[in-house]
Amino acid sequence: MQNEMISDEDLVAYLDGEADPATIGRIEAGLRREADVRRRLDHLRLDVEALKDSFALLEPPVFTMPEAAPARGRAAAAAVPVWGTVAAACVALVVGFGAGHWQQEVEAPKGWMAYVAAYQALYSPATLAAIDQPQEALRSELARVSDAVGKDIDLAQLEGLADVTYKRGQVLSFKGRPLVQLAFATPTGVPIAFCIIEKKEATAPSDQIATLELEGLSAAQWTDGVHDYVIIGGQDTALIERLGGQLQAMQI
Amino acid sequence: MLTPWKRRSAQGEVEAGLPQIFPRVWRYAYSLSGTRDGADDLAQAACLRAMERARQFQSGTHLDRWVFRITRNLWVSELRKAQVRKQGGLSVVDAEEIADPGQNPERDYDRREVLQAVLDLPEAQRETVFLVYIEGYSYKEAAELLEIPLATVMSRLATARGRLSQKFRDQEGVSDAK
Repeated sequence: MQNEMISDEDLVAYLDGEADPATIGRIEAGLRREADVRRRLDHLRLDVEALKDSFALLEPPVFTMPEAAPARGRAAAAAVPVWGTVAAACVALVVGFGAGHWQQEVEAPKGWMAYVAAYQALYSPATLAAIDQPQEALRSELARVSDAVGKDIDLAQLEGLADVTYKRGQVLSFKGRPLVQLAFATPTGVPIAFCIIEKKEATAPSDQIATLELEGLSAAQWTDGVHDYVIIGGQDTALIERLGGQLQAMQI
Repeated sequence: MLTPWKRRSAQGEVEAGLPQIFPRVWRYAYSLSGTRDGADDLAQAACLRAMERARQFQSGTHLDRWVFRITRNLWVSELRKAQVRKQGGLSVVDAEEIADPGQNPERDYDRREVLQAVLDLPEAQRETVFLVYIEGYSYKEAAELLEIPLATVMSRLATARGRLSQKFRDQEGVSDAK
């Protein structure tokens, strides 16, 4: 949302007292002349004090000084109780994926699908096994999640898919863009993720579905020109293709 | 090469400063991980790492920024994935874990709504909002801390402000907005 001269970033910097004198001059001239600039500025206003106040609700635990030995390696840090489970998980990750691979996936993902695949590869049947939300919670969660990518996803559609049980929806983030992950489990507990991200720029719609393997997982990918979609999980390519076809036909 | 005196001084500064900045580190950890357990783990890990590396801290510089950077690096390089494995989610945030309302339930309800709106932002926007609006860092300081261009900070804040102001406008207007 911007006109020729003044971007939203300029307006926010102006509101935050971070704009340089030249930008301030352009904005104030724009505010005098153009109703659109005034409207956009109003749209970006925020009660910053309310934001600060809200974080006071988060009560931190009592601080305890960690006992660190200067030469201690990471594995030894597991001796600290709270950090212990985390360190163990980190060690497990390194063992499972290799430090080089891990860095590569975290810091330089090859597109959003690589990112999705890297996270899906971490899922196990136990990840979703304990999740059993009531309908109202699922519906409310789905409304919030759908909104993040500008969709209106009906719970009945997700629950109507054969061979999988819908578990939950989450909003992840890929390079600052919301990425919706809808999680399913097969009858044997294999986790399957259906992910949606809005395209940076709209393209021509396509009815083609591409099947591929990512991180050793079966995946199917398609686009409607506005959003990109991928369904990924397990090694049952036929199931993934079938689910991809159903979801695409639903035009979720 | 640091002299022994400077190493001791840095160590002492970190030890003395960590208790003071811990609540801020923990809230930053919460804004990254989105859960109380995640914030506990991440903040503890960051403090431990800070202690381990205390001799690398440059005495007289900003301890908070140094520990925030450690916190973020830990989150990006290690704990984010650990949390995915443990809980099956990333950037999943929920204000349900927040403490019970205090003596003014209506005000606390409003604050909870505001907090949830911030926590609902995508991770990159959320942490930038936290650093600039909650912590009060300048754009330049936030950009340095996040190791991103200044323009990216501005872009994240513009997008986040648009989302938040829309949400708040839908709820009750913006009489106190600036």
